[in-house]
Amino acid sequence: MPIDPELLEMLACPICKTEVRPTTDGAALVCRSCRRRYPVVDDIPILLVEEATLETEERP
Amino acid sequence: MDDDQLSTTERAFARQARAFAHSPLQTDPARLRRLLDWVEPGAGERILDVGCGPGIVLGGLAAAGARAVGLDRTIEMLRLARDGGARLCVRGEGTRLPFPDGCFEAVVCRNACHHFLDPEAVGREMARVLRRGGRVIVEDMRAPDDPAQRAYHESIEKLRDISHVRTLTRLGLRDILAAAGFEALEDVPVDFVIDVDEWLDRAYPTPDNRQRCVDMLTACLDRDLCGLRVWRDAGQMRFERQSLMLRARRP
Repeated sequence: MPIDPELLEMLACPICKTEVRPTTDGAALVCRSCRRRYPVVDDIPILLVEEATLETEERP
Repeated sequence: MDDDQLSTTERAFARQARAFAHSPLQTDPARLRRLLDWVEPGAGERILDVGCGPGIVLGGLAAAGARAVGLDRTIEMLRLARDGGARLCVRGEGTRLPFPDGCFEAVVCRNACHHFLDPEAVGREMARVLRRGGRVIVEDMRAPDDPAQRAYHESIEKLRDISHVRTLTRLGLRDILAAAGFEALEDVPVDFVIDVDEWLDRAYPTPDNRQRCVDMLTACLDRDLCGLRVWRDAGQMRFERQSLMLRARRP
């Protein structure tokens, strides 16, 4: 099940406080500003800085 | 060191989640009602619960028609919250809330402050994610004002629960909200009875630390060393937990 759209609409990057967008496979949320990639585990978004990875290139 | 304490809290809560979710202390309907009466959740309001645990408060907020969002550091707690019907759950940190400014009408935080390494930073974040005029409602155990009693009390809490960081006094709790810029601050004491065995079992202290807690509380039967009223009732030791409920508004 994907992340609830109502929740997604509210979530922001814990560092930049700007919008996060789901990846096409729904496995992560990516910050539009700093490109940090936050994993989604069991449909629960993990918006912890230490769990994030930095995206090095644009994904389609 | 901070990271160590964070992972300690997480490990402790992963283990404690189930017992915590069923603890009479957390589920007590009268206590939950008292908190909800202060929150006054409105239908459709966005309300954030910081340190939502297994989602007991979230359930009460949702029943009132609010759009309740739960945030916790511990995934086991969030799974329990979701299994209990909470739809909007996110794993995150109180000091770095993953929401934009002014996102919520109210923020609730129950029984979590004593686990925070930096409660002042959490207070500032709670203010940031509230819209103007939004309200914050905090409930947590309060430390005795007397320094000797406070130190004694704190030793017991730490022996019992490795995830315990610091119990704040009434003034300490008020200062956090005041420093975060909240106004119209009010507070009310909330006291309830704790069954010592259930309370200890739920936190999984080592047998040695458990015994030390029992010994320290037993010493309070004759003399009030920790500011809690400790007594025996049909062989069972109990004490009166002293908590505080606070409410304030973001200007």
